[in-house]
Amino acid sequence: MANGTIAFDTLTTSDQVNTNSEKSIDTSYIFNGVAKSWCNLQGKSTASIVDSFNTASMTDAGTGLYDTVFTNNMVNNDFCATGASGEYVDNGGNRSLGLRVRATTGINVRGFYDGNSAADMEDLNVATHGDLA
Amino acid sequence: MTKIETPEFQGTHLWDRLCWAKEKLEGKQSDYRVVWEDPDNLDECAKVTVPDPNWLACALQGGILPPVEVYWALAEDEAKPDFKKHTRGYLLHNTKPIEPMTEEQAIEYLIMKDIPQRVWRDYEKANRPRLVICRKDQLPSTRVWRNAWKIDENVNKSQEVA
Repeated sequence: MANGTIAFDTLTTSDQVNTNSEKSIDTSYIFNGVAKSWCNLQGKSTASIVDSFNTASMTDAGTGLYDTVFTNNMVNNDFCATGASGEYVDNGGNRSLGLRVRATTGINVRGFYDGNSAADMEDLNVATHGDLA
Repeated sequence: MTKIETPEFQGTHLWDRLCWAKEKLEGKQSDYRVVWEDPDNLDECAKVTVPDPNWLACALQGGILPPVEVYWALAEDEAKPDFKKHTRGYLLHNTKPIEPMTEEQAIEYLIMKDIPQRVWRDYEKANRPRLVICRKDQLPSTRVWRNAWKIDENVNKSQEVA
């Protein structure tokens, strides 16, 4: 990158403060392990994206249905998608998030309230881990 | 405010460019929304696509995002029956990035990137509106009957679009 690059394969720490035993990690582990995208949505009223990384857009597809699209596609559909949903102020009830579609271009999720009913979610969060195209 | 210069990014992994943008650029919330209906699923309600604020900042900045044709090329690869994984991801990283866009141009780019082609191709020739770009205050203010939202057929004359 034009604004500077440090290239190295291994990170090492003496860990003097905690265990005083040297620890190392291969930088490829770090890259393989970080989230490749994340998105925090507000899914009530006029739905919008609060903040994100590697997300191009979100589509409000109906009650409780939210489709996010990546900027940098994933290499295949074998990546891991995770998420959680809730309200900004806890007012009881149980909320959950289901994965509807997983594609190299993005993920589609459905919010649920108290069991089977699809419901709009005020606070909705998704992330993906895996390999980029 | 001093405009931040975009580094020469052609050949840099797109994800690395997004890391740069996340650190350097302020996200921009758009007032625009794209309301659309899928002609292949007429029973479904109208959908509303929202640009991501960090993505929009990249589009306005220029020199970061690849041309939309790159995404179409990857979609063509994926549509092949023997597709297992992308082998032309380099198109995202090695194709010359696009110049700065206006917000309106960015919305048009996003439509062509994230909304199915069957929706936006020849949409103006459809016998009823199936894609509308509007301000978010033109959408219904409550989500009551959200699954019944349809694009108003008199959209050019009305304040609300759905």
